[in-house]
Order: sequence, then C-alpha cells, then structure tokens
Amino acid sequence: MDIAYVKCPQCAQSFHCDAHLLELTISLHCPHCDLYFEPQGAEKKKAMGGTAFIGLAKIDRQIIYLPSSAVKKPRS
Amino acid sequence: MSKDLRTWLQDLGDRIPGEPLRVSKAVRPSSFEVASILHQLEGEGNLSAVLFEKVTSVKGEPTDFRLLSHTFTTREKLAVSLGSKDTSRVALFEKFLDLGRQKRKVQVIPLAEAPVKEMVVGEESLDLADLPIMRHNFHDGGPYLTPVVVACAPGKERPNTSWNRMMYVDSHHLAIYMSPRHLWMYFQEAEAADKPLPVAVVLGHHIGFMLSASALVPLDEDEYEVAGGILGEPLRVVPSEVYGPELLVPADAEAVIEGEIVSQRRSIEGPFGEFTGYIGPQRLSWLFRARAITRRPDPIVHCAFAAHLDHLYAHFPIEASIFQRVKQAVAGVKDLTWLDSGGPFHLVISLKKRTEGEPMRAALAALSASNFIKHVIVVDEDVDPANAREVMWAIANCVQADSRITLLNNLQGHLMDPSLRQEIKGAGLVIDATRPVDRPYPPKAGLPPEILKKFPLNDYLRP
Repeated sequence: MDIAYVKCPQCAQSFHCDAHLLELTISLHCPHCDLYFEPQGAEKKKAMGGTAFIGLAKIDRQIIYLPSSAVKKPRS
Repeated sequence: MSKDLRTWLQDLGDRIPGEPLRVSKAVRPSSFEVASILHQLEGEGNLSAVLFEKVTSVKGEPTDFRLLSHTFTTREKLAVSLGSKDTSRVALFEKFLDLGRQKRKVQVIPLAEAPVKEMVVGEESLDLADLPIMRHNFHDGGPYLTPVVVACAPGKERPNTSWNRMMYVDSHHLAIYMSPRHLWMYFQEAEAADKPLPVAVVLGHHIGFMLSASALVPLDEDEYEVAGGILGEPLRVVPSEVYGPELLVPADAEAVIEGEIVSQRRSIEGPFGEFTGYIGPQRLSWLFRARAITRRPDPIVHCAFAAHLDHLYAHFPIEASIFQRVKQAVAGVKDLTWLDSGGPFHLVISLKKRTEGEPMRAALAALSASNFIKHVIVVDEDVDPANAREVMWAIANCVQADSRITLLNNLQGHLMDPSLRQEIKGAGLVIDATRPVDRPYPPKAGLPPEILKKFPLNDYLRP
C-alpha cells in the first residue's frame, strides 16, 4: 500500500502510516511519545485497495477506540 | 505427562546441549531490552532459544512471568518440535505434513486438572499492563504480543488457530491485526450480526502447537485436531472461564487471555516490524477486549522476534504446504526453499526435469499455493536451492532472458509486501534456470566422487 510519513506535533519525530488514514477524520498515534492527534493539512489521497478489507462502510472518529488515558491533542 | 512448553524446553536441552540460553538478570521487554539482546545474538550468528527468567511488566514492575524467544531459528529446533531425528529441510517438510494428516480429537479434561486454570484473573481486576509485553523494533507502535489466537465460527464448535500480532493499548484492550483469512472471515460473520467474536489468546504452549497454527488448513477443518496430530497426542482442552464450552482453551497453555474482538469498533495499530524485514505502516486494525486471564504460576510468554529470522522461520508450516502442492504437481521436485531463498517473497525449486515445461508447471503450483510467493526460480536437482551462489550460477549459465523468464500479471500479492502500491495484486516472475532437455547441453565441470576418492587430501596435506 502507499504510505505517508507523518510528523508528531508534540515530539517532532516522524512515523509512517497507511496513506489512506490521512483522508479519514481519525487520530493517529505517535509511537514515540504516545500522543493521539489528528494530522492537519495532510495531503488528501484516494482510497486504496490495501485497506478495503477493513470491513466498515464508514470509518470516522466514533468507531476508533482510544484508551481513556490517551494523551490527545485537540483539533486547532 | 502431556506435551507443553516445559516439556519442549526439556527436550530441547536434552537434544541440543546449551539450549536454551538463560538470562537471569531482570529485563524490561517493553523498553527494547529483550529485543536488543536477541538482535545482537542474531548478529553474532547465535540463534539459540533464549529464556528470560526475570521480566518486568509493561508497568515496569517485577512479575513471576518468564519470556521465551528464538524458538524457530534453526532446523534443529524444528526437529525437536516435531520429534524428528532428521533435520534436513525435506525431511522436516514430510514430517510436518505427515503429522498434520494424523489428526486427533481433543481430550476435554476437568477444570481442576488444567494447569492453565491454576490462577484466574477476572475482568474487574485484570490489567494487561501487568504482563511482560515485548517491544520488538524501533518505530513499533507499542509493545506487541505474538500469540496464537483461537476462535470458532459463530454458532460452530470447530476451532480455528492463527498467529495474530496484538498491540498493547490499555488495561483491557489490544489492537489485533487480521489478514483476510479464516479468523477475519469469522469476525466478518459475527460483525454482520453485530456480535463480538470470542477468542482465546494463547501466550505459550509446546512449539508444535504454535507451529500448527500457521499450517495452511482448509476452512472446514478442526485445527485443534491438526494440533493434536502435530503434537502426536490429543490436545487437552478445558472450557473457557468467560464463554464456557462454547470456546475450549488449551489446558496445557502457559497463559490465556480470554476476550472478544469488538464489533463496530476499530483501533489504530502499528507501525510493526514484519517478516519482510521492513516496518509495516500504522493502519486500521481491530479491537480486542480482554475479559479474563488464566495462567500457571511462573508462566512463560512465547514471543516470535518480529522482523527477524525467528519471525521468518515461524512460517515453516507454510513452506511445507508449498512443498506439498509443488510435489503434487511435479513428481520430480527434490527440494525447495522459501525461507532460505533470501526471501521473503522468493521461492527456489530444485527438480529432476524430465520434459520441458515442468519447471513452469512447478512454479505455477507454488504461485497458486500461497500469496507469499511472487518470484520463483527453478533449478536442476544438482543445485542447492538454499545456496544463493549455486542458484545464481544456474541463472547465469542456463537463462536467456527472452525465453526463460516469464512475467505474470494480476497475481494476488501479499499485504505486507512493501513494493505493492494501491492494490493487493501485483506481478509474478518465473525464471527457468534448468538445463534444457530437448537439445544437447555441455556437462557440468568438476570431478566425480570415484576419482576424488583415489586422491584423499590427507595423503598430501598432513599437519
């Protein structure tokens, strides 16, 4: 699948994700500092076959489980 | 005594002196400490199993758990797991396939006799952060378990076993990744009815049991029975704490997390180091909720060391299944290797060719057997498929690119292949590096054994 590199707004380290995630309104998780954040201004990409088998018609922040302890950056 | 991880360790030590290596110093698996030790051992060519005797939890607190890794890294250990004296690749393929055919029905035992039920932690008091969970590679999204997951199709009693990576999320949740195979199909069915799928997460058992979970078994087969075949004795099981007889769990496991894959929810999961040697990206995966943990005292958590040789060689049962399919298609197949091809998506087949066309038939059988394979090289029987120099020699001397190389389009690929882009399908490649049999070809250079025997080296080079 196509991937995209994302920079964490808290620790400034980068990690990579399925590029498809950038077009969804969901939080990503920084593996370096545990921050959950919604990437801003990310390039919008066409949905791809690599994630088609995930199985839900609509994917948004409501269906994504976040731990109650999650450090989460609010949308600006 | 029934087979379990402890009897496996005993057999290992009896058969391979010095194994397992034991680390008695306290280590913290979730802070790359275990991974660093394993990584350095692999770098030195030391592929011994390693038992970490004092491990801390995700919280960093001491535990009574132990942790075992590097259990798949050599054929000698596979031979111990399968009870085989012969450690050659083909002998192990045949042993695994033969055992897998000798399916045995499970033996349900009383709860009081089940080692895995010696300690039970209920939903209210369990905390997954009390477990030692290993962080395998830098960039991993979190600490990961590499367990065998047991589930039954909704409304059915036939268990499926599979390896699924599970990322620690919080006290009661793990993110679980499922390839689109049997477990995924069961969950699809459950979710369509808006129901969770009960699963048992087995954290350690005899390595034969762990291997059986990656066998390519048809959907309608009872995989506990296959595990019994591999173990050479019926798998002992007991009803789960939460789901009762609806979900039977291995009685001789080290520890089992009972819980369910949650319907209509997903979790961010990854990145995670894959068997490819690359770090797979963060992606959407599924959400597992833990509802009980049952365990022995001093349980041993088994970890396949992800993105390293241990992880790759854990796929041995798939390699054995490919061997079976290719051998069925072309009887002259002598040997093949996927895991020692330099892979992880190459396969090298050696065969005794009788007619032109057989190499392509063998290659197509392999490509149809598994989506792990995208490049197939076929060589003659006198070439060791695991010896890259010999394979390259065959390609150099037997291949003209315009006639011996075939490209295939629209082949189902593997989701973990980092070279694939927008689709799960890609291209295949077949290189026929066998000598032609429809025209004269020069003989291979060298000296035959009968001449070599006349001139033993010791007659000329005495110390």
